[in-house]
Formats: sequence, structure tokens, C-alpha cells
Amino acid sequence: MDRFPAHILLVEDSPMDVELTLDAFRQVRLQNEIQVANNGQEALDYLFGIGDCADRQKYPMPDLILLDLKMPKVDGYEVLRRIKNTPILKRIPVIILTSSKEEGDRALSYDIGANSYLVKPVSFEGFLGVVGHIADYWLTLNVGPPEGENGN
Amino acid sequence: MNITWFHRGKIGKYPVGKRPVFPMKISIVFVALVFLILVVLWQIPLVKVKAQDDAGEKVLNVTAAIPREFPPYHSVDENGNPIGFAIDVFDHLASRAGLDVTYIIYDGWPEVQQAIRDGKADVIPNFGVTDERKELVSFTSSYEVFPVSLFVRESSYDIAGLEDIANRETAVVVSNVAVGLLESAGVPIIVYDDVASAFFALLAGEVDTLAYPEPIILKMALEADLASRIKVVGNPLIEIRRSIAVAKDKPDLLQLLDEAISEFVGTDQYQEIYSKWFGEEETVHYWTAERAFWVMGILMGLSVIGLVAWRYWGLFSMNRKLRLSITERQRAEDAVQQELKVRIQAEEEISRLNRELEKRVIERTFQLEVANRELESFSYSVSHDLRAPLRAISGFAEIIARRHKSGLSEEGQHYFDNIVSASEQMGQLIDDLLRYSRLGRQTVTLKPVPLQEILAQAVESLTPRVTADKAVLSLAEDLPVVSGDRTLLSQIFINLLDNALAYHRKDTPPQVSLDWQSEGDHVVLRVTDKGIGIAPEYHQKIFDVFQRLHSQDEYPGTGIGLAIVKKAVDMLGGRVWVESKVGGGSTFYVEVST
Repeated sequence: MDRFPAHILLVEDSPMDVELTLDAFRQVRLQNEIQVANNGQEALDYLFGIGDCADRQKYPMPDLILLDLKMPKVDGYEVLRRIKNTPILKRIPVIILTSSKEEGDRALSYDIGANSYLVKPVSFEGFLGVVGHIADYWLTLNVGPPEGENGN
Repeated sequence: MNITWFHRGKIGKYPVGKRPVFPMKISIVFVALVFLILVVLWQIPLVKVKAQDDAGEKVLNVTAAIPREFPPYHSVDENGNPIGFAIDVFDHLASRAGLDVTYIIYDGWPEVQQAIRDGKADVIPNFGVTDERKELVSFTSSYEVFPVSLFVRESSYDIAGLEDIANRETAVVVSNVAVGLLESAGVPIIVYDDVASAFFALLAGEVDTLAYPEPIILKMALEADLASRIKVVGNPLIEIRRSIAVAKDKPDLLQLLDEAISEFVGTDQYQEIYSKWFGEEETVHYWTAERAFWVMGILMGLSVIGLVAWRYWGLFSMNRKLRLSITERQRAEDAVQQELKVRIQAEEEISRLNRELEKRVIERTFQLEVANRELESFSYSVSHDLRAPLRAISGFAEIIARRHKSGLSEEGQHYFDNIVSASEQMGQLIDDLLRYSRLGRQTVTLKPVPLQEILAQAVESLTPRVTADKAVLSLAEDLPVVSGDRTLLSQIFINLLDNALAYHRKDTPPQVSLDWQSEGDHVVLRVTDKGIGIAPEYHQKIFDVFQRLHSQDEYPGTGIGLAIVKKAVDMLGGRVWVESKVGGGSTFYVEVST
């Protein structure tokens, strides 16, 4: 199955998780360029093109956002809220990728507008499976919003 | 006296405390009234007699001859005036007949008779009637009869009458009728000059008998207090009638006196006079009208006083009782007041404690809410923050074990496998812990839940395991509907069955059965396995969190399953317990409400 080239933004504060996630994507041979924001603030800066991020050649608008919930300062919910409240961003699918199975987290995430909620398994093998499914579904099966009309 | 009794009886019917005021007053008035009536009744005859006394019109002068001493008929007082029964009677008769009497006293009966013969006197007021004397004088109808009797000493036993005294000496008094009588009967006699000498001769034993008119001897004996020393024997020698002797030439006087006698004899006054001189039994004499009057008066007075005293005593004792009861009542009231005070204090204390309790409950609830929130945030932290590094450990260890195999010795590879395995177990523990704590925070809403559905779901989720272990399940297919919570009941089934499947003997596949029975408004579920069993000392402990009896190698598990069962059952208000022995399998019972 062909995977369309897509830009992915990974918002994750734990460097080890970032490393594992990137590794996992490599394992499933996902060739897409993955941008990483190390916290909520960075994610917002990236999405709103603040500072260096104004350069969309270097920092393109993502087609899919993988968002951790628990982060210092600006947490995942805040980032999600800002995305969903911003017309040019709201159509970007946001996948919550977290270790929390809590009902409250799940409910709030969907309420704010998360498009998917995935729990990171403890085992790397299990995580590989999850990442594989993400690639298969979101980057292959799922048909995204129309190009270029994000900004109205 | 009767009246007094009547009153006392009537009053006596009322208990002292309840005696009404009316009967008391009425009784006093009644007593006074009767007293007055008695006084009036006694006065009437006195008045009447007095009126008759005053009725004398034509006064006739009469001379009466009397002997000096012939007691009790005749005697003379210290002033020389004649007294005696005969005098008193004759005075009355004379008064009735309208006579003015002059008494002439003679020394003895012979002189008296001589005075009549000589015409010196008109009457002898009291004279024994004999045929002989009738030639000398005329007699009125007799107003008295007395027997002439034989007296003996009280101690005599062999004299019963005239027939026994033929050889005995009998005392007589000169010129008495007995003299002639005994002489003619041939009885030896000793003649005494006066009756007193004869009487004392008998008592002294000079003679054995005395013959004399009975009333005179009895009178004398009574007066000398010697009545008990003598007695009368046999029939009277003779009965002598006595009447008034009137000179033969005074027939008018005779008629007047006869009339007076017929009116007078038998009246109370006559009886009174008779009693006065002859003496009767004291009881009869004692009750003179005046005495009776006074005694009655005194008795009535006493009874009135008694009634008043009784009344007063009644009032007094009532008063005292009242005062006592008032004191008691005051004391009781004081006690009640005291108790009331204590109770009020106690109530105040209770309400103060209640307020404090309420305050503490509110505080505690707040604290619990805070604690609950803390627990939530703790759980959240655990789920995120413990798992994140764990995932890192697990993930990198796995990467090394997979990708860098060639760079590792077999031993190194084995160790990395251990790290991965431990990490996964840690992950499972964290998951279970979260599950357990999440259970506690869940709000329970009791709804009818068909257990059969819940069981089916639980079995479904356990199917892979059942298949893998080749377990034999024997499950009831008619489970009832109970009042509960789906999630909790589901947890109970899953964990009980999981537990039953887990601890089977190594050599045999698990055999698990589930059945139930109804007990009143409860349902008891029973999950039985033929597994390894549980020692009695662990029958309680196995329901604690992370309580494990076996190593991870022997029986994998986190020790959370039964703790979840226990918690879920508690939250449904039910009970869970186990019956088991080592090597004999285990039976878990769960009791829930229908």
C-alpha cells in the first residue's frame, strides 16, 4: 500500500520517547519527514509559524499531529484546544499518543476535538504494532482534508 | 348511749382521709337535739307530781301512832322526827288524800295498839294484817306483802326448811308473828328483844336459824354488807300482808286512804320509796333518773368531745399527711428539676457533640474529597510518569536484544530478555493497580443486572486462556437477575474465574464450575475449582491487594484479582468468602442482593 508523502509533527517532551517513536517509525519504514516539538510551547510556535518556524519550506505545515498529553507548561490539551480553535489548523488530524488510559483523559481529548486516541504499550514490540497501524491507517487509508484550503 | 353508738358507727364508715364534713356537723346537731328531748321528758313527770301535791283542798287532821324502832318501817332521825318506809308511804298517801298527819311515837307495838284502843290515835300507818287484829281496827287494802322466812348461815347445808329445825333453836324477836307460829309448830325458840340481836345471834352461831320478815333481814344484811353470809331456806313460814290500820270509828278516813292506796301503789314513786328503805339490787337502785340523766349527759358530752377530738385528730393527721406528702412532693419535684437540669445539660452536650460531629463530617468529607482528588492525580501520575520511563527501559532493552544480538554474548542477550520481561510485568502491575484504584473511585448505581449476560461476557474474555489450558468449565445457565452494577459484577466474574483457572495442579487441566442458589432476598454464587487449595491462614489475606502465595514462576499474576473481587463485592454491599484446604480445591462464595 502506497503511503502518500506527509509531514508529521510529533509533540513529545520525553527525549527517550521521541527516540523510541522515531525508531519505531523507521522500523515500519515510514519515509516521511517527522518534525519534533519537545514541548507544548514549541508545538504552538511551530504551528503558528513563530520565529524560525515562519519558514514553511524548512518547517512545513504538518498533515498529521501526534500529541502527547502530559507535558510541562503548555500541556497537550492546551495545544489541542489551540489547534481546534484555529481555523487554519482545525482540519489537521490530531492523534493523541499517550500512556494514559484514564477515562477523564480520553473524554476530555475527544471533547476538545482529538481525532484519535492511542495508548502507548509498555513493550516496544507492542509499540511497533501501534506505529504500524498509524502508518497504515492515517497515512494510507485515511483521506485527509483538501489541500490548501486549511487557511480560510 | 345508743345514739352515740349510732353516730360512731356511721362516722366509722368513712376512712379518716375521706370523711366528709356534712355528717359530722349533722351528728353533733342530732346529739344535741336528743339531749334536749331527754331533758324535757324527764322534767314532765316532776312537774305533774308537783301539780298533784298542790291539789290538796279540804284538810283533815289525822293522828298516827307509830313505834319508835321497827326499821326499816319505823325509826327516828337525830332530831327526833319519825322516818322510815311506813312514814314515807303514809306521807304520800296523806298528801293524796288531803290529810294533815300528826305522828305520835310510842316505844313499841303493844303501846301503839293501846293508843288506838284508847282513841288517842286514828291510824297505824303500817300494820300486819291478822284476824285477831281485825277485831281491834279496820284495815285498808294492803299495799305490801312480806314473807316471814327462815334464815340460815350461808355455810349451813343440813337445813332445808321448817321440818329440819325441830331440834334446833331458832331466833325470834319479841311480839313478832314468828313467835306464835314456831311455838305452835313445836320448834324451840330463843326470843330476842330486837332484830339486830337476833341477826347477830344467827351469824355468831348462838342459834342455827332465824325466823323473821324477810325484807327487814335482807335490808339489814345489805346495810351491814353481810348479805352474802346468810340465805333463805324453804318456803316462807307465812306471808304477812301489811296495810294501814284505821280506828273502827273512822270509816270515811278508811275510804279516803283506800282510794289513795289504789292510786299510789304500783307507781314509780311507790317503787322508789320501797327501794329507798328496803334496798334492792344495786344496779336497779343505782340508776336514778338524775344519775341516768347526768351520765347520759356526760356520755353525750364525751361523745361530742370525742367526735370533735376525732375530727380534730383526723384533720391533724390529714394535715400531717398532707405536709408529709407536700414535703415528699417537693423533694420529688426537686429531684425532677435536678434530673431535668441534667437532661438539659446532656441534651446540650449531645447537640454540641452533634454539631461538632457534623462539622467534623463536613471537614472529613472535604478531606476525603481532597484525598480522592489527590488519589486521582496520583493515579494519573502513576499511569503517566511510571509508565513513561518503564516504556523507555522496555523499549530500549528490546531494541538492543533484537538489533544488537550479534554484539552480545548469549548471557548478555538473556539479561536483556530479563529486563524486557520484568518491564512487562511492571507494566502489568501498574495496569492492575490503576484498575483497582479506578474501581474504588467508581460511583455505584444499583440496577437489575442479568448475571447470565455478565457471565457470558466474562467467559468470552477468558476464552483464549481456557483454550490454551484445556480447561473444563461447568457453568450454570440459569443465573438470576440481581441488583448491582455491570462493571463491578463483570470484574467479580472475570477475576473469580481467572483465579480459579490459574491455580490448577500442574499435572491436570483446570476444572472450574459455577453455580448458585437463592437465599431469601440474596443470591449466593459459588465458584469451585479442583486446584491446589489455600491454607486456612490465608483465607482472609488472599483478598488483600498484591497478596500472593506463590512465586511468579509458579503461578504468574499480580495478586490483584481477588482484591478487586473483594472491593467490588463490598461496593455492592455483599459478602465474599472462601472454603478451601490445601490440595482439596477451593470454593469461593459471593453473596449479593437480588
